[in-house]
Amino acid sequence: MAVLALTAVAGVAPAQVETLSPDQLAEYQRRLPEVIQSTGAAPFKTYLQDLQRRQGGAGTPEQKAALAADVANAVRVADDARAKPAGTYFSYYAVPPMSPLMRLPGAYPIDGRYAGDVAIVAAQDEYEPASFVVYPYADAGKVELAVSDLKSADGSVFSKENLDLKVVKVWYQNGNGWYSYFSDIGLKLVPELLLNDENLIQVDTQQQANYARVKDRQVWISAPRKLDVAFDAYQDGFADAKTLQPVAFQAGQFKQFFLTAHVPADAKPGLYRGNIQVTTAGQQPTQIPVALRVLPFALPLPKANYDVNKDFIVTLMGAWPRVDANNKAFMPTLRDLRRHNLLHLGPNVGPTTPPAVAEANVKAMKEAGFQTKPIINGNLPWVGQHDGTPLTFDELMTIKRSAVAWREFYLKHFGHTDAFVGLGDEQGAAWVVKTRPAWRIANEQGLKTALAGHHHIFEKGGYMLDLHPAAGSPADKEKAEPWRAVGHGYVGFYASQHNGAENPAFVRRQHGLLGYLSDFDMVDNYEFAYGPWNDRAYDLYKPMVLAYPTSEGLVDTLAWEGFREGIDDIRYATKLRQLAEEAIASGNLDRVYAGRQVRQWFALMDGTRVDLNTVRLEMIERIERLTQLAKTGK
Amino acid sequence: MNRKSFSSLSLAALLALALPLQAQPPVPDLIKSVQARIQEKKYAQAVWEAEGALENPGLSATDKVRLLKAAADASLLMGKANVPAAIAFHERVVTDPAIPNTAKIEALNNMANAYIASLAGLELGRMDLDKAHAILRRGLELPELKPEERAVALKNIGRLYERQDLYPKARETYQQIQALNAGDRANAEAQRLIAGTYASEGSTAEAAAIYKQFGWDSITLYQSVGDARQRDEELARQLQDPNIAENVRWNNLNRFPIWDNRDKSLSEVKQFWDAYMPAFLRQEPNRALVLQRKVLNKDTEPAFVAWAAPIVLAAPKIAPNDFVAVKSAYIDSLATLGQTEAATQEAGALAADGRVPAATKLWAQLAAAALKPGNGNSAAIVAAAASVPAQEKAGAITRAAQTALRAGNEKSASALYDIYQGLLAKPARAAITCQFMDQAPYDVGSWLDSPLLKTGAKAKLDRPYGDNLKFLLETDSAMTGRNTTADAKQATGDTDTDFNIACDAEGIHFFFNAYDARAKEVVDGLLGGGAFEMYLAPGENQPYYTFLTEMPKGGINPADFVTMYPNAQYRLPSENNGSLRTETRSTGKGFATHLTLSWDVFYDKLPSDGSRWQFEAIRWTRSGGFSFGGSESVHNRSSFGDVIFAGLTPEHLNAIKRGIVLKAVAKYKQAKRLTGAVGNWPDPELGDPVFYQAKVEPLVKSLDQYAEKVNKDMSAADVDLLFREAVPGWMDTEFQISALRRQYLQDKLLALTP
Repeated sequence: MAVLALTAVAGVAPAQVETLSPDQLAEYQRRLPEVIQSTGAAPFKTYLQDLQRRQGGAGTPEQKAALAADVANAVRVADDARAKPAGTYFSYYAVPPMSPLMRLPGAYPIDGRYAGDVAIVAAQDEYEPASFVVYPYADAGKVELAVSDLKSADGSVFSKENLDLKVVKVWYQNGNGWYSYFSDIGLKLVPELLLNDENLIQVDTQQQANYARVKDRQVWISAPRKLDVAFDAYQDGFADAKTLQPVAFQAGQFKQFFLTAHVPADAKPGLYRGNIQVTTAGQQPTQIPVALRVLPFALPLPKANYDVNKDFIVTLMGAWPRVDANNKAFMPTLRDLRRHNLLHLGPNVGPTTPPAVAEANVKAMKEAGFQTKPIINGNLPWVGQHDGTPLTFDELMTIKRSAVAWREFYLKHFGHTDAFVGLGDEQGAAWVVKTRPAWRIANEQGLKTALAGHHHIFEKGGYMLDLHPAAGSPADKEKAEPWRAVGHGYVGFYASQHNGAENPAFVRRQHGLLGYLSDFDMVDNYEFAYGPWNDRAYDLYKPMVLAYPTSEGLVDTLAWEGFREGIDDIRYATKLRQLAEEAIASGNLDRVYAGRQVRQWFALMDGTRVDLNTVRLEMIERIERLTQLAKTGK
Repeated sequence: MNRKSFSSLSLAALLALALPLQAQPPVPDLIKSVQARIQEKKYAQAVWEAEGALENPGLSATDKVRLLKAAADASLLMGKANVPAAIAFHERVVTDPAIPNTAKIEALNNMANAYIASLAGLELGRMDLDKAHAILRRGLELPELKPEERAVALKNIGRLYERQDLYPKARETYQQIQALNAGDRANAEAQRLIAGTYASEGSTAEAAAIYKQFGWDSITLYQSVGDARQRDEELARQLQDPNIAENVRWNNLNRFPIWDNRDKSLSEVKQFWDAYMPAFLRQEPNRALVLQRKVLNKDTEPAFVAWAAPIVLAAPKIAPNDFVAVKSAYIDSLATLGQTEAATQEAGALAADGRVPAATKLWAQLAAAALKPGNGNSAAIVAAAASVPAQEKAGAITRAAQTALRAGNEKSASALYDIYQGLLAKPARAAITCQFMDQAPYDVGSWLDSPLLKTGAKAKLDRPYGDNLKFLLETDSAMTGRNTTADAKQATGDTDTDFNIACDAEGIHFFFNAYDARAKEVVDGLLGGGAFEMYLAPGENQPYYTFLTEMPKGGINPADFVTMYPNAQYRLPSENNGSLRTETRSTGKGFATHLTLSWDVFYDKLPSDGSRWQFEAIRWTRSGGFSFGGSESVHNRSSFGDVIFAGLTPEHLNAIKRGIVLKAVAKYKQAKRLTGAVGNWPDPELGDPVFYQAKVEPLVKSLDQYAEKVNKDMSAADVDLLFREAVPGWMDTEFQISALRRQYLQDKLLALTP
């Protein structure tokens, strides 16, 4: 097997967002000699000269196009570097970690800050990412990146143990990668995986193939669907390293890194600084500055946009681990889910589960820190037909027996019956009509009911049903409004889109402020799929993966970080709204106006367009303003 | 009477029509006929025939009961409204002095059930079963009731209590049976029912005590209450008990759930196997087949399959098809475990087995070859298998590739996949030329009048949608895939669609002429008109747009499915801002749909001459989907075709840019309004004047200077300059200021020097 590093040759697609015109490309090519002259750094000069030499050579149209793109990138980096040299053998750009831009090796970071600080602003007990891309001037086989402790001016230390640096792996996904959850027969390169060891997955750009490293074997995991033989991600020997391993730099190819800070709940507020030291043999170490602002507050659990006292449910269909509790991947997986803001995850056991298994799962669920009230877990038995044929006495008794058993189960394990149990899936209106007596039985046992589907479910059962994933988009405010009008239930979106798109900004918006501003009070999208690793394994849908399973837990992805950020956006909004409501209730006119301004600001916000990175900082600014007002009164 | 008219008549009317039949067939035939009508779901006719048969004066009591029951059943099957009729039929059994009590008790039970069925649809709490109990109690009041008949009547009452979860009352009722002295059988049944009530209410110990007292099989009991631990203990005890007959012990083991695929404990299977199976197999070697289900389950671990498959294959009575399936699973498991030599041998042996079908033989030959280094003769093997039907051949090749892949031999797998691909008659990638012109047709009317329909670039939406393996294999590889669906077209008359495209300074204009032989019915709302599903990606790796529209309704909202939310590099076209225009209307021969997308949506990714954008259009017809590119599934991006831009001179490009400049500056002026993206920031209460002054004002000054240059007489150079330097700011002022704001706030929070 010829495993090659990524190169800008045929098969490597250009970035999706920036299309340089032929005129622009020609202009960069024209400027190359002048840039070579003005570039001081020896390795960069050498690389630029190499580009110039290659310009004169032969090649296919695709190779020439790739070379033109390389020249454009090099000239742009040289322009940036001229004013402020960043490093001796590479340049770097601080970039927004949540971005719709595909950071492919050939994509100049148009939204990046050249030689900027890797900057993080986070609340106490929050996970918050930052990102940067490097642009190497020369190849380097083993480059080590190490994060230092961060320190504040008063000597406080933010331990590097709470800083997690990973490399963003660009690999092959199906032709719909980054954009949708549908299957496709083709392959394209997409940045997705957050790895400690970039060699866990090998990418062969000649053969257009991904390989998983299992012990000393390389297993092909991107075969066409008709060949797929279901790679076992839980097998021994398939797991990421515990810490960031040395990475390879390739001249002229951008490489993205992802730094996540976990601010301890008791972290002292303030500004901390440190760096990421980049070392490789034969080169002077380079330091990339890191800045962290710890905010003087913690985030509340999310609440609904329209009512700061109503819980906002955060769950995903299918998220309970697919392995038994005694599997070594089990607890790391659960903890990863919780760390990523998944709040409501039932233990996937019930009255008919062997008691030992039930006990183990409930214990694990509690240990991982999931909300124990309410609980979304379990189903009532399927009885009757899919149509409107009325439920019989015996069918309702079957439902009743199950509801009683669920009631006893929840009382035993959780001490309450505030739990949602499902019955049916995407059923028709007639089915809803005939199922009302079954829902009533569940309610009589103190349980709540759940059913996903379309608007007719509201039209025929909105007054009864308690939890409803509504087929549609999080922008569909008209789907949330009727449920809000009735008031008792929870409604979230699913399907447009299902999970599967790798774009973290898209995932963040869909599961964050967009649905929140539409007055959805739940995230319950379909689904959290545990693989497969082969993006071409299915015929209609893409694997709806947010994080990938391994024998030792999950490999996180950009999209999974997007999910966490989306929920954190809602938590910031909740914090801001809570302060606004306090201000309005204070009677102090300055505070009342300030509180109402927050309401007005949210009311005018277009969840489909607003820049979420900016909105986050804007919310922080307003939180600080309202906090200050609360202290001073004006 | 016309048979079809039965369904339109009420049951009462049918009964009124029932007349004594002349020259009736023999009674058994009449009963059979009634039952046949029920099977055919002709319930009203069944009732009618039963009533007719009941007029027969020579009917035995048994036949009368059978007919009345059939009539009642048929009535019930007609729905709730006919429950009274069903009850009435049962009542006729009860009141007929010629009918024995046994049948009357059964009729009362049926009557009670019919009554309960009539409650369907009510809430459980409103289902009053007292009446059902009253019906059942009538059984106890029948004259000359024998003890065993009373026992049945009591059992019916007890069962109803059980259905209501009223277990003490049920038990009390069953205990009355014991007091009747109705015989050992009735007593034993009563005991079993009593035990059942204990089990149902969760008192397993009480139930088990009764089972033990009577020597019944408690495995069944523990299984029914879900007590796996006690079930397993009891099974183990029985398996080790030499006093229990060998065949009884085998039956117990055979029905044990470990053989079921839902049970995942493979180590437990092996333990049981080692402990008990050697002895059982000595008695009957075919008992090894108990492992077959697990071997054939795709989720079973390969190591288990490799262990179990030879055992199953040794069973003398393994069915031929099962033999092949188990052998195949065995070979795959060996390949997965890296035992390639053994796998190769097994595959070779299977290939040489004269009993296996040709396709299996081909697979085995290919697998054996693929497992060896080199995979040299796969093509020759396939060529030699000329008699194997194309689809089976394709399946054998891909399956052999999977076997190779299991063994980690991806080279062989890829080579086999190439052979497979070579069997398919995949058409060339679809393409259509989008010619630039001074004025392209811009709506349905201008398209229909345009000479372009005859002289311009044209394509057909004629590639069948879906993973058409059969179609691809059975189509001559020399064909392009076009005009191969004539049968389907003739069938529904709506599968012929012309597709035209052109572009001008305004934008890209798409036109679809969708012929429909039944267009009038569609217009009149009597028939569905189908729909278009279109995707457009403005260049490789760009987000794709989805356009959905129905005929004849028309209308497109690109926000229906988005792959990206608006940002500085992506815009969603909309009718609201004039960047999308669409129309669908009837042409008499079908429906014409037009779509224009203006260039400003794509201002930062304008095509040049020869550029390719990816496009697919699927027409959903009454015969399925027919497409431009041949999509294997929806949103199947790699199957899209290409729109190739042509005739795009520098002058044309400048004309496009001129249009964009004018639109962009207008958009910028909107942003500068007091409530716009610019205008809001100087507001002392709702904006941030400091930020405005520091960051926004310099941008505005620069953009304003450019805006002053916009006029109707702009030169081509002016247009180029403004397009390059001002349009991004004008088009995306909102996002540019947002980015400035983000940096400003971040710098403030991190005390960075801006």
